[in-house]
Amino acid sequence: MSPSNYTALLSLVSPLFGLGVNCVVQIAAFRAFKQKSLLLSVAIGFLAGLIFMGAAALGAACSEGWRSDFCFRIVFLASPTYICLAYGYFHFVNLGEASIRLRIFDELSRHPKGLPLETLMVAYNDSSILQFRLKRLVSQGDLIDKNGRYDIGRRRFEVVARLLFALKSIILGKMGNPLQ
Amino acid sequence: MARLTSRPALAIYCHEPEFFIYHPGVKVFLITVLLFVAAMLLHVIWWRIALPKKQLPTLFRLFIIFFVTVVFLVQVAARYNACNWLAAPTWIDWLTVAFLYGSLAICYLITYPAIEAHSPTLSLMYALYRSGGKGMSHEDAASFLERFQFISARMGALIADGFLVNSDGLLKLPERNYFFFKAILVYRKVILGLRNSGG
Repeated sequence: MSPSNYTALLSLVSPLFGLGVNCVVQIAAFRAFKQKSLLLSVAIGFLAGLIFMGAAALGAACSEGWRSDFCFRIVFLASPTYICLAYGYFHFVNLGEASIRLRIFDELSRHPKGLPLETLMVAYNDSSILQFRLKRLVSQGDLIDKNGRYDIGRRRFEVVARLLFALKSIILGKMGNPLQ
Repeated sequence: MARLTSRPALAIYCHEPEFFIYHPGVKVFLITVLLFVAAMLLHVIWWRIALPKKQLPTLFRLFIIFFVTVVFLVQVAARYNACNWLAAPTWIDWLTVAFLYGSLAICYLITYPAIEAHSPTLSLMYALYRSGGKGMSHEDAASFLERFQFISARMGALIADGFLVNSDGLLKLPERNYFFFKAILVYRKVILGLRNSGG
């Protein structure tokens, strides 16, 4: 295999190895924290995968020579691929925390013969889900509950919401605005 | 001149730039970005003209079919010496294109349910942001959230996308389309040791 093919192959597979390290470290960290902080374990796993990828690239660059094409591949091809895969893994793990869909699936998987819609709506009605979410947002500091009024606390969800609704208005037009 | 005229006319204008010969990674990057941007443009145009009934499965197919079609057309063009430099990437480079394009597509597909349906948390945050610092009373927040009927909307989307089956008033899981969700549930219970899920 020629050196250029070798470095191309390395930049191709390194995101997969990075993802593998990410998963293993995230699981180990989550178990070490006694299942208390999922987000922190995901962040630690992400950094571990990124460091592993960087170290592998550095090793290859030192042994094969610092070629500009290889550096470009690591920075602009391998790293974005790893970030996308890590984002996918984060959602895979986080989906179980916040997804209404998964909750419905979990319930239905325990009833293979099916459930009437009304029964499901009693167990998982809008009101109970919304109360649960409001409580969680307040406890995490994303919402401030002051003098009987809610306001934005930490701005992380506000930024995501603004980005998302900008994207919604591009793709879906007026249908994408929740305030209409 | 004799050599040039013996080749298809288009090839005269399609020499590989020297820069790409020494930096094939840049070419791989540009091809991936162009492919993804073109797929997104096609998606936005399609959705604006006629919103598909099964949005997520349609989007998934669009990304795959578009990629396969473009790669096929580029290979055909290369066979006839038209824009030969596009087909010059090695199989490793094509795989790299597929990996990055696929990863970007997966990211977008994961995010798409939040675009398709209104998320309770994000809708509330957006409404509070638009209130300009005035905030919202508990009653207003509750009535704002309740008018979306999130659960019914999610149920409707799940049935429309074929992830749930409504047979004779009973909601069931279909035999197919369940693997991904089952994998998440098993992963949470067996690997992470969690018992609760969702909501």
